[in-house]
Amino acid sequence: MSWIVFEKVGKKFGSKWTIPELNLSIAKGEFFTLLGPSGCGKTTTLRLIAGLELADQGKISIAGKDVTKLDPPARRIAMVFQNYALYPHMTVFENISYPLRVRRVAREDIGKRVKESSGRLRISHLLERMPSQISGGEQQRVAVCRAMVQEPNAFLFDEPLSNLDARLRLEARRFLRKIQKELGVTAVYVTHDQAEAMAMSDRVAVMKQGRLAQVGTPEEIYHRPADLFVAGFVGNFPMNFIEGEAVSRDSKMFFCAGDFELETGDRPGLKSGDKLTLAIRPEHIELEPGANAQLAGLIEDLEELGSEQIITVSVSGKTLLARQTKKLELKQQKSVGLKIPAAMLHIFDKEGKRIN
Amino acid sequence: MSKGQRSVIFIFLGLVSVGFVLPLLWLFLTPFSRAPSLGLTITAPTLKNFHALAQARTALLAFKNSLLISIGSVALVVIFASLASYALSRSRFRGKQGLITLLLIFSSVVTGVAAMVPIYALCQKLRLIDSFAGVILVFSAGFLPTAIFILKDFIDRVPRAYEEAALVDGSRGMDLYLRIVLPLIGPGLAVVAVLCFVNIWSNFLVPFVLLRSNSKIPISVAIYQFFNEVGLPRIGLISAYSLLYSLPVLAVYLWVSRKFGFGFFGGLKG
Repeated sequence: MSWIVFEKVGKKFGSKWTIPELNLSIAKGEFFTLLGPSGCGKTTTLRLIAGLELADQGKISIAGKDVTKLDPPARRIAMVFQNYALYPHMTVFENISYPLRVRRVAREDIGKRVKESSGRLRISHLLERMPSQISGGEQQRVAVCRAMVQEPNAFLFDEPLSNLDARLRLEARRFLRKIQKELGVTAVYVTHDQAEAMAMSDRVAVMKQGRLAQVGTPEEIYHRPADLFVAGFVGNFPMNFIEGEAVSRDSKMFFCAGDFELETGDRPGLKSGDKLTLAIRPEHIELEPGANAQLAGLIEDLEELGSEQIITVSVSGKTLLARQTKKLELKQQKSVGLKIPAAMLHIFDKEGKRIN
Repeated sequence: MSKGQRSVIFIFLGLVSVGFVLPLLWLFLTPFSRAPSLGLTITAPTLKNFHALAQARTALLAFKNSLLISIGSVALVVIFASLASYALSRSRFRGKQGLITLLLIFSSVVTGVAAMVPIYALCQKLRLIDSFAGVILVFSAGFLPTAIFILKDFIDRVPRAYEEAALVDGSRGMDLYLRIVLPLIGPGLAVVAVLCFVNIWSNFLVPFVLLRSNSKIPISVAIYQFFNEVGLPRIGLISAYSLLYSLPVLAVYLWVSRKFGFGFFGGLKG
């Protein structure tokens, strides 16, 4: 069931359309992430859901109700801000209970709900403190708690982990996702960190210049990037990109860039002579010393990371980055065989669109 | 820096500070002196000057009048300045910068001496001569521009995220203003209140021109009554009165520095 729906939504600042036309449908109970570089419109999209920005065109509905013209209090949404925005003049208890107090919830009910939520987030011992007296990780939990007690239509998260250090971030990632699944409340999450998006989301929308580049599950986004931008943005290691063209030979299709040649497998969209960009993830290049390899390369550099090796290989004048988790006896300046399964090749036309 | 240079600087600073300390010493010593004069005279302490002061009915009434005028004006200034500056800080409209510049100019004009004639004429037309309302309105109008200017600066520095969080949390309008905005600019309100209070408390010209009845004048005007039959000042009374006169100002400063003397914006990172 579609819970949050954008129909042809546009938003402009000044004369510039930050979001020209956005169509989006987020399902009930889903953990949905808006992913993109800064300035891509992901935060604006989130603020449009919250009502902190009003759409200049189109329609937004939440829980089957048209909210396009409603102000934030009327939308019954809970939001966790990047800097948490805990009210500095209120204690933690007053912060958490604020949304309930302004909505005139009965006093004993407030006490009960704050107690339950704060217990669940393990911050019960902080209730009497001021926000300035607790750590960043604790502030984050308080902000989440303030969102939780409201029983809202949706949780909105605006890069809530970016102020935490790396270790806390990993922990908070898991805990946010767990809480969201337990409560079953729809969550919309904004981040520029693709690893965060992949790890937490049911579905990810990759945004670029106010438009959706691709919407899909993390697997889809990773294994079938819709265009060059998504391919380059998603993945812990940068993709290998090679520009070349399609060449048909012996009723088989090849990707050629100078002396570099790879069979593309069966791709109906491909025509001989097309200008193409080939993309390969470093983790999909298999190195093996044996002779039954597709390509022969020369190891230029070797980085030993303990759990894996990062290998720079030069193949017919092209430089490729490969990752291996299995231990291989490799040496610099030695030749090596490469195997790349055709299914792991991503091929894009000259507009950057994926060819299947 | 050599030892000689240091001693020269210390002697110089010492002389300068004597200039500041002497009047203060006078203020605190003379009221308790048996032979008050313009010089510093140290005698066995006495309360006779205060006893004499207690006989002067107008003088005591003036204390009440001063409080009424000052607190009334400060209340008006704080209420209207906080509302106006909030609107001015958060809204965008054409000519906003011009309006702010205009405020800055007005802030130095209205309570000045030059404006007294038109203000007097205006108050006469409005039948506000010899009324507290007149004095309070003139003071409020006079300090509003400065107050708005100062408070706007405070509000500009409060991150919008607090208000946005409060909006999403379900509060709007007056709820948002009273529960979130006002507490956040508390230090700014204190600054404005103190500034206005101290200035209005010590202002002589406005009540002197606008008030007639002896029963309505504030301390700053009443202090001129302490002359003897031949026009010589009665130093004992004046000094005792001055001490009482300065106490509320002192109290206000102490209260504010206790309440707001520490860092405030702790809840926001980044």
